[in-house]
Amino acid sequence: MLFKNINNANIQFIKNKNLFIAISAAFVICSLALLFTKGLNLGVDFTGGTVLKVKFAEPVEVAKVRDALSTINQGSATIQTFENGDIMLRFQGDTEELLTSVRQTLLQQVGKYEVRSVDKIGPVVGSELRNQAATALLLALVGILIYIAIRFQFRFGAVAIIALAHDVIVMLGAYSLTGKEISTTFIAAILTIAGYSINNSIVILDRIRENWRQLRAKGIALVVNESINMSLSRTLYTSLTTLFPVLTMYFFGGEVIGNFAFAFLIGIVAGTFSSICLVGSLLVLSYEKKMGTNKK
Amino acid sequence: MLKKDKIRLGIVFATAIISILIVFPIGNRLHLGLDLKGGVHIVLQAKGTQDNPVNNESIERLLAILRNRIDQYGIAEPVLQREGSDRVAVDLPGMEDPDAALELIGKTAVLEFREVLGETPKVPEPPKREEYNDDTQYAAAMKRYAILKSDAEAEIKKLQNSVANMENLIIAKNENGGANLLGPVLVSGGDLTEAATTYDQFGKAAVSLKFNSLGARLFDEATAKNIGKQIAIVLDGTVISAPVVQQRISGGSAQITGNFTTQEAGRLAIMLKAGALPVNVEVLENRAVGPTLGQDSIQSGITSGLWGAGLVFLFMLVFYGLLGIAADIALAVAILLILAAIIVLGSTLTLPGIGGLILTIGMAVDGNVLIYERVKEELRAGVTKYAALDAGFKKALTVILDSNITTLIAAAILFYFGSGPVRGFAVTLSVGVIASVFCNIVVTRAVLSLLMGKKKTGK
Repeated sequence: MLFKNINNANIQFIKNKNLFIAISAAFVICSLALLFTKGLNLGVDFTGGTVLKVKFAEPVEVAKVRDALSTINQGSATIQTFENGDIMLRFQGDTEELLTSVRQTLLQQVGKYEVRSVDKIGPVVGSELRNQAATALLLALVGILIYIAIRFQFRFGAVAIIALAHDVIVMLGAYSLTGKEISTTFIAAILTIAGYSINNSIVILDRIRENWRQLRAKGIALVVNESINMSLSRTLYTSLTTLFPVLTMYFFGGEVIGNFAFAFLIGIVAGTFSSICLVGSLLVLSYEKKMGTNKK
Repeated sequence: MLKKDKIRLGIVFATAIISILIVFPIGNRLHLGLDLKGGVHIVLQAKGTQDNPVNNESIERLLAILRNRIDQYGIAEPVLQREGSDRVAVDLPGMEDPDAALELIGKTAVLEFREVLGETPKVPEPPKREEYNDDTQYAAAMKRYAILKSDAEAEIKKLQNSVANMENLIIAKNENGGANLLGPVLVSGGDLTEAATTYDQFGKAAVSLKFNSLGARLFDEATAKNIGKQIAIVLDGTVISAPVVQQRISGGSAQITGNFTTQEAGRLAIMLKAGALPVNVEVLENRAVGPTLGQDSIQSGITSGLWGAGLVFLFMLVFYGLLGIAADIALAVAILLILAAIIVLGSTLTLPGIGGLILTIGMAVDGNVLIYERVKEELRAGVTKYAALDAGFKKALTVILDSNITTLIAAAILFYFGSGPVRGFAVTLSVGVIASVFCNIVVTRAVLSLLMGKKKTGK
């Protein structure tokens, strides 16, 4: 069978724990640096912009209007038709120059039209909604921490939360780096990746808990390393089954769903790395630190 | 086959059949979002008064209250945004009843309780043609009615003029076609903490109210002072009813009755709970709008996802053989269950939502992978096939439960504290988690007992 050796894997993860932690830290620091300097490309849902209602002389396809707008980097505008053939465009930015360039592009590439109305529009996701989502997410993290602390140990919970933060920050960093636009659905993507990340951590932590009674005989490093190896096949298979739809949607799904899939692509890769390499390493590190201070 | 297996199989069949009945024929049963199907585009113009000017703050509050009303009404995935300086654009996904939506967001919903100081004569219903023998009689009746009506209106005018300079007194039209002279506000809707639909002793729809402590005290005082007199319930400047106070009402609960249907009472309760709009609004635009995504992007989005899901099915089959068949059947049941839940809960599906569901399929097999990897471990340790299966299920159970309960806790918190899209996400996430755990543990087991059971007897 393929991957046969995964089942009996004995890879030295914990030996390299400092390297793994360093790699993760580097990714997190780079991501944070990007977020603070370059920032995120927030879409019209977050920033607001302009709403333009026009009527073309001849009926036009939404796709044609979108293609035209893509040439001036407004391909992610919201374009809708009304029953009477009017078209409503909502796009980022509200400067005069931008409006002129949009109007000219439409005239040159789509056809003659008359303007019904032009207005500034506010964000769909206002600061209030954004803050509320962030608060809800933070509270959810606290809930997760408490549950893991009760079912496992507080230390386990803390490690799982760090891994989760790592995955989400790296995901945000990737969006900052590529300059991909962030839409409302991104909130859902972040939450899904958070859930996925916690799931992965718990599978590893569960194995460690199960093997915990061998702690005295084998020592923490060996117990954790064996646990990671035991669940390695599951971690990889599940990552693979989740990656299948993500990859097909990323490559063949078109702009909207492809952009959505990109978030998952990064999240899953980061999540797989953190659950195999980071969770165990952090646990061993913190455990050895505690032992160290106790000895003193 | 053991008795336990039979019960399990029964449960699986029952759920599968119920889901199939809910899901098929799928036709119009799924609510599709603005991106897939379009909906209604409504533009509201805010109308300020001297006391309630239109400014940044009042528009922000207007947005928040509208969002709250729409959320509570159960329309998922609306788009609300400010347009220009004094307008609000509301996009609602494919609605069955656009008029109801307009009722819900176009009403200011200022509720007041006021003392009744006077009433103009009642105006009867206008005459109906079928009640008269011929046109001349009907015309005469119409004439009499017109005189009656203009008399009544003159009366109202007179009353209005007489109180024009008096503060706190208002004239409000009532259901009888006349008007009431009303005293100062005793209690207002701002002091409510809860509103819900209920039925009065005659089985008519009503709205029950709960006041906060200030409102409760004011209401207590008002009813104590007005025993035997009328108190008018005024909504947006119109008296909806003016019951006579029978006794002092303490405790902060009240009920308002009027001439409304259950649906109207439900909408009123939502509006009162979400609060009155800070400014009045007028509907500028109300028209159907097409989907935000073109047909081809919808098509490619869904097709690509289905290919991915197909790969998941294939993977399980190739990697786990017979066990994989069981996993695939369980996965198919999970998809059915999720679809059924979406239909029952009336959730709105958007393209990213569909993408999320397809991802759930990839994650749903995680439970099966966990179980099967355990089974393989047991097999390597040298136990028999059946013992390995048993042990695999048993040992994987804790981790499956632990990881999914964590997710459910997170989803519950997101639902409770979040709003709008976050809430919708929490619901779909919970549905996905519950369906996949059920299928991992119960359905897989049942299918395996069926598959393996046959093999066993064949030996």
